[in-house]
Amino acid sequence: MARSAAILVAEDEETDVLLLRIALKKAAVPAELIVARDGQEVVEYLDSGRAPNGSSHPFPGLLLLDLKMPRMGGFEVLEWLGRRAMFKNLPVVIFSSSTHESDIKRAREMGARDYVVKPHDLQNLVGILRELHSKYLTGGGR
Amino acid sequence: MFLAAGALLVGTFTFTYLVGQHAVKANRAIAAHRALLQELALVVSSLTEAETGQRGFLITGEDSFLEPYRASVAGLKEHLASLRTLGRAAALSPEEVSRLEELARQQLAVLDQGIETRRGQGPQAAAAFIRTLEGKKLMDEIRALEAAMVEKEQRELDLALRTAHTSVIQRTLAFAGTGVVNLLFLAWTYRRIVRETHHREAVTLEIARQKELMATTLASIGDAVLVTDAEGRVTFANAEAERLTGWTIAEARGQPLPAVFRIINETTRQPAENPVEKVLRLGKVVGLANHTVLISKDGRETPIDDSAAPIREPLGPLYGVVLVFRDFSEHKEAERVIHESEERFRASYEYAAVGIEQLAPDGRLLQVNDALCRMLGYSREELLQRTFMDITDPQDLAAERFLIDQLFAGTIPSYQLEKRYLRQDGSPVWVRVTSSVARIARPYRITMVEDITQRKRAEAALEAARAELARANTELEQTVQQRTSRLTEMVAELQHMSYAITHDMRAPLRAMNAFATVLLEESATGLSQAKVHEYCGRILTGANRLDKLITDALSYTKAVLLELPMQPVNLSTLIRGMLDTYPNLHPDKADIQIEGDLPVVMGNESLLTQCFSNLLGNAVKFVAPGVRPQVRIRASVDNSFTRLSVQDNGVGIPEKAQRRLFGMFQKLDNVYEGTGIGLAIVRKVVERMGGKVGAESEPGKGSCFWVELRRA
Repeated sequence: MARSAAILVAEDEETDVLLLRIALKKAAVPAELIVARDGQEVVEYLDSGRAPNGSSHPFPGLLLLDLKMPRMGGFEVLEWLGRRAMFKNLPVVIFSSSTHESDIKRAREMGARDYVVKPHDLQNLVGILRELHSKYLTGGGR
Repeated sequence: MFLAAGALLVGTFTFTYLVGQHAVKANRAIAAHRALLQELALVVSSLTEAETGQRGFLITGEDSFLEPYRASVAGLKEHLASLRTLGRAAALSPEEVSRLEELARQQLAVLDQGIETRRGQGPQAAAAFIRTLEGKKLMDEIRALEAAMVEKEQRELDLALRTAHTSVIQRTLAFAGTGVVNLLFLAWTYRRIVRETHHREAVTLEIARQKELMATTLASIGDAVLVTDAEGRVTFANAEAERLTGWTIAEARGQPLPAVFRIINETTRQPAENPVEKVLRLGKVVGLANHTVLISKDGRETPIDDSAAPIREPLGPLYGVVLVFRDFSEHKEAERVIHESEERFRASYEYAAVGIEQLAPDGRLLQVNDALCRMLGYSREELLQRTFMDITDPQDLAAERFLIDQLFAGTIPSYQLEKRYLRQDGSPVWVRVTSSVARIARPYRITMVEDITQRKRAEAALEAARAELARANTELEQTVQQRTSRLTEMVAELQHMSYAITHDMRAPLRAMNAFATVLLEESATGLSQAKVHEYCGRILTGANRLDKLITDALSYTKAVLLELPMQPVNLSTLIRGMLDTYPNLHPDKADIQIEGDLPVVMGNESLLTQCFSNLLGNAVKFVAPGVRPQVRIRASVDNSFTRLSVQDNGVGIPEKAQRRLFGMFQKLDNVYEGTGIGLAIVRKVVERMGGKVGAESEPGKGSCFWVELRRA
């Protein structure tokens, strides 16, 4: 089954969301951006979607997850996902400002496929999005 | 015993004698009876012979036949006389004897008549005469009488024989009894003699042994012994006496005492009184005057002392005098040595630097030395009236009692103890006692007492110093620990903050960087005016946000790091001042009411200002759009704390979010502007002032934040 080209982004910073949109456009990656403003919204989205088929929502091919968010943080989302077998094939990539080893290690242990530190400049962000797209959103991705 | 045995012997002898007499009498009777019977038979046989002779004559007429006749007649007369004599002794009555005599006389007459007839008238006449049977009749009568007499006599004889037999048996028994008694007596006497002999032998031996012992004792005794008789002549001298006088016993024996025992006064050189004379005069023991010198036979002089005593049995006559004396020169020297040794010992005892005491088992002080008296401040007399219990500190008594018991029981040879004695004035003195038991005559305790006050004082000082050092150490450790924990806490908090800052400060930086890039890249391609405004706006927002973050972070750092002085702060004054000066708390923007007077608390004004500016700022900020903020401040008192509550009419806080409310960079949402540091600062400053923070809230109904502060 071909993966959906939708990227679910969990990000509370409105600026960061805007930057992601700009970068995605620049990267010319054909992917729809679904924005959740915190972990709680991620859970609500996935929960109401139920299954990829027969759902009004597109089922994301990638979850780009910030760690520090109001209400429900990234780790809590990872924990929530870990308890649900149906989401085991949903790749989660952490997208955080934190460069702490402990955060990286913990995220890996909780099932995150990659850990991306938010870059300072737009150019890097574009490159990262391209990479993530080719890695997770194209059929030939690992 | 001896008398009883003698009486028994006499008894048996008498009895035997009487029985013997009785037997003799019985035998005499038997002899008489037998003689009588014999005489009776002889009377009859004499008559028969006479008749036979007569008959022969009658027949023959020869005179030869008359010879036996005449002999028989003579015999008959003899026998009859004998019979009469015997009959008096026997049972035979005189009448019967007389009758027999009469009959015999008649028969003899008949016989004579026959003979006369033969001679005169011839044989026929004689035969005729015989035929008259006169002689025969008489003879028969005689025989009958004789038979009766014999029978009677025989009876008497039998009786006498039986009596004699009984007597023999009695005599035999008496002899046997006497024999047995005599034998027993003999055996008893023999035993007595043997025993007595043995006893005498033993006594003799003992006397000999005693004599020997006495002699040996006197000879080997260390003192000189001279013995005189009652006249004062020497009878005995032992070896020592021989040596001191220079006389041998052989020479001295029999000499008057003054010759052998020459004594003079040591100083006056005048002859001293002869002790033997004195004893003989007084009859009692006398001693010798002091300073007596004995001059020996060869002129040697020996200082002596002596005593003389009479030899006599109690209350008996005087046998002599015994004189005991000894060489006083050696004795004197020995005495001097002992005296000197004692003196030295006493001096060592008295002048010893340590206290020495001798104690009876009941604790009485028997002897004490000067050092002890000085140590305890008692005079010797006072001290000797005390017991060791009186002068021992009661706290130390029980332990030492235990040791003393063991000491006298012999369980331990000695003990050493540090204890307190009590001085005369009642003050304690620390001593070390070393105690052991001496058993001379009866056991007593010798104790060395060493004053260790100086050492104890030094020890106490050392101990105090040690304790002080330990205390200081502990204090220092506590301080170090407190500081370390405070530093650790600070480091942790700063680390946490730097961690949070890296996260939160990057966001605005990122935005500024990215939008600036977009502006640069797209300015060439013709960016709309609106886009330019938007992007520049975002860059400015980011810059402001960064500035605010830096300010707050510095405030927080200050709250963590700065050592701020605490003082009483009037909260009413403080908060009212803030309401006047802070624009966002101005009455035209919010209704803020203070209920009653707020208390004075212990705190730092600067920190308290930060705390309340954040709390009140939040209270007026988090309200639903279009709602006018209403805030009420009130205080409640609980013991030493004052709780200050800030109640708002804001949006409230979801329950889930309440627990991380006071964390660093914890924002509840992105609707309201803020750095997420404010409440963290509130918590930090309140904790720094020793208080607590908390909040209760219900979404949609407002929140109540409170802080508890120490009252001034």
